[in-house]
Amino acid sequence: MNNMLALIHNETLKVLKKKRFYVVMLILVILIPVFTYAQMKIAQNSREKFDQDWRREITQQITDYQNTLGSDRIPEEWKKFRRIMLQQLQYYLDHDVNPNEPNGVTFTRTFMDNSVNLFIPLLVMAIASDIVSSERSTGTIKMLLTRPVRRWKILMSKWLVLMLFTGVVVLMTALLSYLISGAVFGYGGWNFPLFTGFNVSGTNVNVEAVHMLPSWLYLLMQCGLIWFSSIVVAALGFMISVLVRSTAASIVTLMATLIAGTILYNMASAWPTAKYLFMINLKLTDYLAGTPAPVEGMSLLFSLGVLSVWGAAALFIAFRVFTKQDILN
Amino acid sequence: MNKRSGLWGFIAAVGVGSTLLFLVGFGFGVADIISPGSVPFAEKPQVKTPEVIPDEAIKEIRIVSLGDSLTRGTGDATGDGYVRRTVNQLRKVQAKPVKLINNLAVNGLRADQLVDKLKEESIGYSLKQANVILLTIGGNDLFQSARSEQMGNEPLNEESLQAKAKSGVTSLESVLNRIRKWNPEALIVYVGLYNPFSDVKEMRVIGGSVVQSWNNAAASIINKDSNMLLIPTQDLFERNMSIYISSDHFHPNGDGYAAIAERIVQSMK
Repeated sequence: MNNMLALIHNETLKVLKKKRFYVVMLILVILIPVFTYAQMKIAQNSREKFDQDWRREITQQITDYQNTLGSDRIPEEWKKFRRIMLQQLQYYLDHDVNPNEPNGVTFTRTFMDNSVNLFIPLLVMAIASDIVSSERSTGTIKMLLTRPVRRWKILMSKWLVLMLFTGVVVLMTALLSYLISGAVFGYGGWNFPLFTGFNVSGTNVNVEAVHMLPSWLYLLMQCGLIWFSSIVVAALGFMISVLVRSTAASIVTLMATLIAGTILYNMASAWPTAKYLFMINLKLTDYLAGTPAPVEGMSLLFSLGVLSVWGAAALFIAFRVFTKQDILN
Repeated sequence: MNKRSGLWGFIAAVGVGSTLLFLVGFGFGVADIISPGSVPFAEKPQVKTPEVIPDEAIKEIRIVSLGDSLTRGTGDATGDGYVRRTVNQLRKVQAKPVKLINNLAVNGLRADQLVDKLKEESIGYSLKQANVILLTIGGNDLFQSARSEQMGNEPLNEESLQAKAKSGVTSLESVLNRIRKWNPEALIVYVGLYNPFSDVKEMRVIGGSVVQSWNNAAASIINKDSNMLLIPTQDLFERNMSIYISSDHFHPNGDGYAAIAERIVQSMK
């Protein structure tokens, strides 16, 4: 056990030494203010047009959605999506709760929702992609494997470190977006009520199970779900890092997969088999928010199952290959 | 070495802490999605209606518009429609500031659908804040089917059109009543119908007479309330179809909307 701890210590130092982690932090510190500024502009615009009366703004939004529903040029899936959003907005309006109450917590919630399928996975991958491959490209892997430690233990320590950093990345994303946006929108809103439990069937929203959650609990659930997706992405990155020798190749492979996933996401309704791809299932937070899934019939348990299978398979392959393969040159 | 081991300890602690925290969040999240409301702190929402604080000191003209595609501004390349044009022109002639609160028009809306829409609390919330309400409705009641019939080159059937006008006017009356209920004081401006077929030889007479009887019936309802206005448009479009109608041959174009806006502004002096 002590042995393992020392390995983990060693691997953590390696990650820190490589400065990748600081680059990730730097990306967050630069990008979040950009989004905060954009959000502030939107808020200013709404203040001018609606005197900060969110009820009128939502009413207008509902009317605008209704207008697009009448158009024959809008694809049927979008209409379905809008019909559902429309009913949710109406529900918020009927219960006199502002879904976009301007504060740091709301910003964080929206930001996390939007970064679950691309931004956070990219950050996680920045760390995952070279955790093994860099040892190979720099040749240090031989040094590592000549130690009197079992190979699986070495890989296990790397995986545990990757899990630690995945947790840190998700936490830092949430924390930084709260701290930075809070400076503009205020730090309050932890107890503000949010609705969840919208049951989407077809184009109808069943509000029977809708209940209120305080924002802090909602945010915690959201981060937990995002963390799960991130762990699966980390496992896949880990596997590719074992399989591919060059770090650049492993980053490109993963990025291409993720970006293809976001493109596919919009077309998945036309190709239902796509629901077995991990990229389509990353947006676990949609089940919390009541946003319709890209393919009819997907549910939380389905997505969790698909993600778990992908993650487990990736880890299995990674360990199998790493412990069996010959290390040449 | 010492500094570095401090950092590693910190990262490891944050890593373990956040992992545990997210595990809890993940557990709660999954539990709440699978069996909604099972987590602590969950509450059943209550239906609430917001209070509108009547501001007696309001010294501005506050406009809410609702109705069909005409109020939406369909056919206008600038997207302004008659509503924004009216607002802009009123700003020039009125001493008071003019403000558009909401444009709640929906394309293709019929009078009976508007009656249902007006039951909504959120629509009422906007209406209560207005002191001028602009309204167009009825065009779809009469001509929705006629427009598709026109595509099939079938002549308009006057009898069925008159029947539609009759039931449509009843809906119009309840529309006006409902608006009045939400807001007892505002000036309600109803923009009358025009005949979109006045340059189509075989439909001109039928279209004209149906529109005429709709407008007459509307006038007699509006006449009862001193704070309602009917803006006639039939005469505006009768001989100006080529310059006032957009390419869909049903909605006004920018100039047509400008002409309607001018009339509204004139009658609100």
